[in-house]
Amino acid sequence: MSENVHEASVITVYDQRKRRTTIWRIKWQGRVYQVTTHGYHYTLEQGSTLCHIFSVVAGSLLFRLKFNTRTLQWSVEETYDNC
Amino acid sequence: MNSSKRIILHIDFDSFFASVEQQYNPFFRNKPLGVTATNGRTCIIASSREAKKLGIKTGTRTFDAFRIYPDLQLTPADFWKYWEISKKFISICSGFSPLVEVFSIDELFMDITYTAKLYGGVMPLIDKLKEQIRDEIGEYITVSIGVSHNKLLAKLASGLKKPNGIFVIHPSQIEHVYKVVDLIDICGIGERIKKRLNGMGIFTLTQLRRTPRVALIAEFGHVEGRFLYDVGQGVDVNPVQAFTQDTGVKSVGRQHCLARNEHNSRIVLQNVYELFEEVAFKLRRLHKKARSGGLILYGSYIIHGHVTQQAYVDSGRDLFQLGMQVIHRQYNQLPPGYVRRIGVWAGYLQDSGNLPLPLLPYDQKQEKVLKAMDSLNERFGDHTIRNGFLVYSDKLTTVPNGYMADRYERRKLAHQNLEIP
Repeated sequence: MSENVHEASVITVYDQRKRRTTIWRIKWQGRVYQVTTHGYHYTLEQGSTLCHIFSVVAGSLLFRLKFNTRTLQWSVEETYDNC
Repeated sequence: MNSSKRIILHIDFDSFFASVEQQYNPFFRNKPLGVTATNGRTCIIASSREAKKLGIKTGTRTFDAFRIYPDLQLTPADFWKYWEISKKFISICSGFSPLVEVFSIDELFMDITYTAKLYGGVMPLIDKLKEQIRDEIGEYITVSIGVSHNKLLAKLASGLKKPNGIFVIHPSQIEHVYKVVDLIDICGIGERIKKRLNGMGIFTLTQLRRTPRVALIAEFGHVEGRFLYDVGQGVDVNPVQAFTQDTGVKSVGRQHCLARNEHNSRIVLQNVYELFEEVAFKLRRLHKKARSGGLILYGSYIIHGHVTQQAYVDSGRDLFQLGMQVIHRQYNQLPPGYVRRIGVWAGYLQDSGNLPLPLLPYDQKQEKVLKAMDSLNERFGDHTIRNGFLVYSDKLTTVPNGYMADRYERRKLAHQNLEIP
């Protein structure tokens, strides 16, 4: 089975006190990125599928990550290089 | 209750679209940023606080903006992102008062007359509200709040201390505030009304305050004249109307500005069809049918009008045929030239449940086809199933507009909020 280039492995942390999920680390295209800054999180309905969108910064890269609640898959939707 | 004892807040996001983009992308923070329309037109629809300081305002063309600041960052607008943030904002405000009126995508009114004491007063409530917005929406997105005893003055107050400010207008301070603000700072007075007021010798709000009602009615008529007199007195009796209240729907419409001046009449008609399809989705979601369809085409020529018929319809194809009748009344086919903007609407609405079921087998079949199309579009997104006429044409994406004019989205929002325990 070939790996979809947009799919990513993601480690998240849920803070029960703040009731907030934050992204800690991303593995994408064979490289591991440590998240340094969190931008924003919002939800989006694609048809009847609810998706969570996160924007996070790792080094000089901004990732737009999508979590599909139907398939429970993470994917990188967009990257922005600040260099 | 005495109207001067009401406590109304007007809450307005500062540079909303740009602040959201700066919150979303930390690399944009503290830099001049322009948000551009997604339709390919080169106009800045919102600029960040930093860009505004340089003189780059809403409506500036990107070409001119780069001449002012060559390192300006540009990003396309994402209305779904803004709408999601707006929904979160409305939900936070609803926790402080049940009387929340959504004025546009980035501003709302709240009546806290009866709930302020639960938080220890107006200022503690505002502090708590700002703290919650900062925690749940983001530290880079700030709001300016106006406090007064009516909506007119609360809206005026929120614009007087930006960004991230709080401004209170007490009934006794109206005279003083009116000395420092311009006529067009008032919501409801634009450049055209200002010009007419100037023609009457009224250049300031203080002068408007002293103008007799009869003089204003003589110039502007009963409705506008009375409104302007009330503005002068700082009076607004309109209550805050909770967004959860059903306001009724009289028409459903949609406008679209094309990416370029379009000369190809087939592409123009495909866009007209797709817009009517969208109006039809909304009609069906609102359980309405229409017997009037209208069309406006702006460009090197203008076609404008509507057609009303006996039968009620709710399919894109039927509405498109009404639109075609508008064109055929003026021309046999689209005249040579270009079209820049298209607007379509459906009026004379009636609840579908109040109308007889279709009699003929063909019409019954069409209803089933529409139901199947709707269930697919609900599941996979709007415009998933399209008419063959639209094959190979670009898909129009439905986005919430800044004025939150979409009754379907408003109704959905109201229902979602009512479900919150």
